[in-house]
Amino acid sequence: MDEWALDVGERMTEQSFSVFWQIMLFAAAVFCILAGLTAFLYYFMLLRRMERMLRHYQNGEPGQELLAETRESKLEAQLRRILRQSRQAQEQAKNDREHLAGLLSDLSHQLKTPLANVLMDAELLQGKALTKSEQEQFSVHIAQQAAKMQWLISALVKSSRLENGIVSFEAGMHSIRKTLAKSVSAVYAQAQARNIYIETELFDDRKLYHNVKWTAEVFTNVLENAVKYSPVGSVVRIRICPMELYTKIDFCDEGPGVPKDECTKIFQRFFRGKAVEQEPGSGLGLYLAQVILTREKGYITCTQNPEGGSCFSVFLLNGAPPGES
Amino acid sequence: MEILKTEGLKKYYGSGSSLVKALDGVDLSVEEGEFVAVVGTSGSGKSTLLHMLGGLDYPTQGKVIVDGKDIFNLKETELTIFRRRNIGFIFQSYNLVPVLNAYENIVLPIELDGEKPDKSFVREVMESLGIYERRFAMPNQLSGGQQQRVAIARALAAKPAIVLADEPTGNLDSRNSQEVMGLLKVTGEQFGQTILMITHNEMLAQLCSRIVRIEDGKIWR
Repeated sequence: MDEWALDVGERMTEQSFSVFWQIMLFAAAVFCILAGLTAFLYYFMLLRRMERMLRHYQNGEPGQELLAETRESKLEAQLRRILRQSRQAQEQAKNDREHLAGLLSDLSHQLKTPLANVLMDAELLQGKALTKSEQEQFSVHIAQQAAKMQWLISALVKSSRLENGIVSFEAGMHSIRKTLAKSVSAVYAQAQARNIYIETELFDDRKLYHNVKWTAEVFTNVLENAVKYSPVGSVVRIRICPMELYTKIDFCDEGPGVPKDECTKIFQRFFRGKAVEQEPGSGLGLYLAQVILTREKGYITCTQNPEGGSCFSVFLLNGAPPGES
Repeated sequence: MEILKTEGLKKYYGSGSSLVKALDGVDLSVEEGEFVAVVGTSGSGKSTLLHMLGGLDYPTQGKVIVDGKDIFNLKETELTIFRRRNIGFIFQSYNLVPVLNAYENIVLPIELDGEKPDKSFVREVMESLGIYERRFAMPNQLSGGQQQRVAIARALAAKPAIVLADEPTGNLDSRNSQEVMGLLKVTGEQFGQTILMITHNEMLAQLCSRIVRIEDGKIWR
């Protein structure tokens, strides 16, 4: 009797034990399935939100972003940043195209007048009733207009090529004294003709990061302006000021100076200051200078000279920028 | 593409006879990639304007929209997060953390956001600003100009939608000021970063692509 009871007892505990484990297994299975479903749902919602965000950006709407300290929020922020950068690149390309179109329209506008003059002079020359000296006058005039057009086209093409990286522009560490000397000698004759003295303050030669040929052109353009607009018999001073990252090269003249509100505008294409409207000039010298300097990671500013006149400061790097040796 | 816009921004302090109109209806728009200078004398409202633009203070009236988001429509915690992720600041007094070295200061905003800094990009920014060799120096071992360059690197490294600079050259001598301005312009262009700078020094503002004048809380055309 007792044996049998023990037996039954044993078997019952065994059974209930295995039932217990069966239930546990079943519960575990259900739990896993539920967990799997929840995870699936979570990622599904996350992907849906990402898709919605991408769609918003495609349509150009600002997305509705979740701002919280969660991982999805950070993911969204990163996505937003990437989309912003790609949009910037597209805008840049569009700006470049518009810039080129602007260049072409400027060119055509600037060429209109000299071309009209040439055509008119040619027509007059074809007329019979002209004295020898009159004929000569017109021929000289035509030659002048043609030279002006040539210079205009070459300057614009140069600046366009530089801006678009078409022309090979190799900058390296070169002696600044040599570059300065090149440009000073280029304007020497012009300066002499107006009795203008170009004075270079004594300095120790240094190697600066630039392209010799193009930078000499920058200096020449600045010096040409100084010589053109300075009064006869005045002095143009060149000064080298080394700084921590850049070296500043000052060109100070005793001319009419540049008014404060024109200081940024003078570097624009074809801008001519009010004070110098009457003098011949293309309005491209400083524009070209800025384009060249930007290519060699330098820049140019214009300030009022306290002693009257203006100071153009050209900044060139003391060492090669990162990524270029 | 417009990255920043204000609509009828007003900030009034006090009332009645002691009413001060720090900003009196400012409408401003900044396109991506621009380097804008807001120039005005002391008391013109330019610092107030900067604080509004950065979401550091609430306006009395008007909206500020950064990268398409009306920032004053956000809750305070949301605004903090938005600001951390989308707006970079450069202050006159550098505001570097004295117990962290230069590199750690630069990546601090990124790490606060729980992100890993893009090491090669940070290196590129530091090299462009000429501070890579001093990356392990502490702020008190750097000159004023170098500290400001670290502050600039910090603002650029996080690639925000816009960098707001409050008189960045205010504590620097004229040489350092010119260098810092040049660097802001060159690195801004190199990394396609939109920068808005307030200053009272019109000469330094020259390098900017656009100058906006503010006087008595209003923009002058």
